[in-house]
Amino acid sequence: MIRIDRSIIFQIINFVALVLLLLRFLFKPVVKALDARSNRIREELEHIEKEKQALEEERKKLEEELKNLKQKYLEMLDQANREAQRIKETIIQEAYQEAEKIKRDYERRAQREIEQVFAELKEDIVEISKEIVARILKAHLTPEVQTQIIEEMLEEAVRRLEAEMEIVHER
Amino acid sequence: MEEVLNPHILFWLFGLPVTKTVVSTWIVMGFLVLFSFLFTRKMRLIPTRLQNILELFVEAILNLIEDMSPGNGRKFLPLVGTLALFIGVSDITGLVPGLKSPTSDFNTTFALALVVFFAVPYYGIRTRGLKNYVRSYFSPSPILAPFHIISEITRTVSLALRLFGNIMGEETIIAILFLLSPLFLPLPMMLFSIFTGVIQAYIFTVLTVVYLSAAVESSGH
Repeated sequence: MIRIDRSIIFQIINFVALVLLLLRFLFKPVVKALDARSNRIREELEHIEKEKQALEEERKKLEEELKNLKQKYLEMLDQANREAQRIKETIIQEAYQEAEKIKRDYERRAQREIEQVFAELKEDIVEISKEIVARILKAHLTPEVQTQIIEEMLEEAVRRLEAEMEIVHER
Repeated sequence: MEEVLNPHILFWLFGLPVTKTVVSTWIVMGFLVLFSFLFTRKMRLIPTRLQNILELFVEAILNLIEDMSPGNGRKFLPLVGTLALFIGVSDITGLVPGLKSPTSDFNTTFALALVVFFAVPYYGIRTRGLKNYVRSYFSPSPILAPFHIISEITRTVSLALRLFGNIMGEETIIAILFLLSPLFLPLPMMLFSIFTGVIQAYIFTVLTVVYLSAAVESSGH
């Protein structure tokens, strides 16, 4: 026969004491540890989320900067091209001018040399002609006639030379 | 048989009888408290293997309560967790030579059932207030109030008897088998008793959670 005796009071007290003791030594510390871990995980996740957002913002910022830099690079490239074109045109222009100047210098120098050559030639011809005429006239003509002829010939020679020089000069 | 059903009184303390099962209860209590104290002294954020086992147990109890009574896990944890641990360890204690399983004594199981019996109105009143809790006895009809009370008493007795019957029965069978063949015959039954001991602890715990959740829910009984 099952009998309920007063030891049941001991068992109730024992169990209630055990609930309180386990609450103090088991459930509270374990629940606290679980909460601490949950909080840590939540904080870590929040931190990761914040980091992720910050990185995303940083990425957007960098993309914007890259875009601006690209824009600036294209502008600079365009400006450099324009500047190069301008310098190129200036250089070509200057080269043309220099060439023109050199050409003119050479032409002037050539002209001077031609004139000088002709002048010398003219003088030589005059001298030679004088010599020829003097020898011929010395042999056949009176001195007065000789002189008249010589002068006429010299004037003719001078006219022709001047006419030739005119032609050269025109060229 | 009388000794099996009603344990021998070893001595008296404060006018109360100290039986073999009371001593076994103290041993189980001492073991549980010492074990808890030792392994929860230095709780770490990254748990050790033993801390993991403790956390798994506590989480399992919390989940069991939360599944049946959402939002009351922390509230019921001390009572329900202690019941599960105490009954689980007590059921196996009988296998230790010289010890008697506390749950093989009706006084122990009835004491546990009485704690649950009083815990139900305690949590019910604390959660819903005295007026609402008492009103639930008269729902859906005042005629049913006596039946509600009878049901609470019978379920308490059945809770105590179920656990007591199972554990006492197993211990008796093991004792008989031990008398027949001391070496090998009791061994399978002893292994089986570990399994049934855990099952009985689970049943007692689940039924307690069911009673408690019914008490705190607004729909009542």
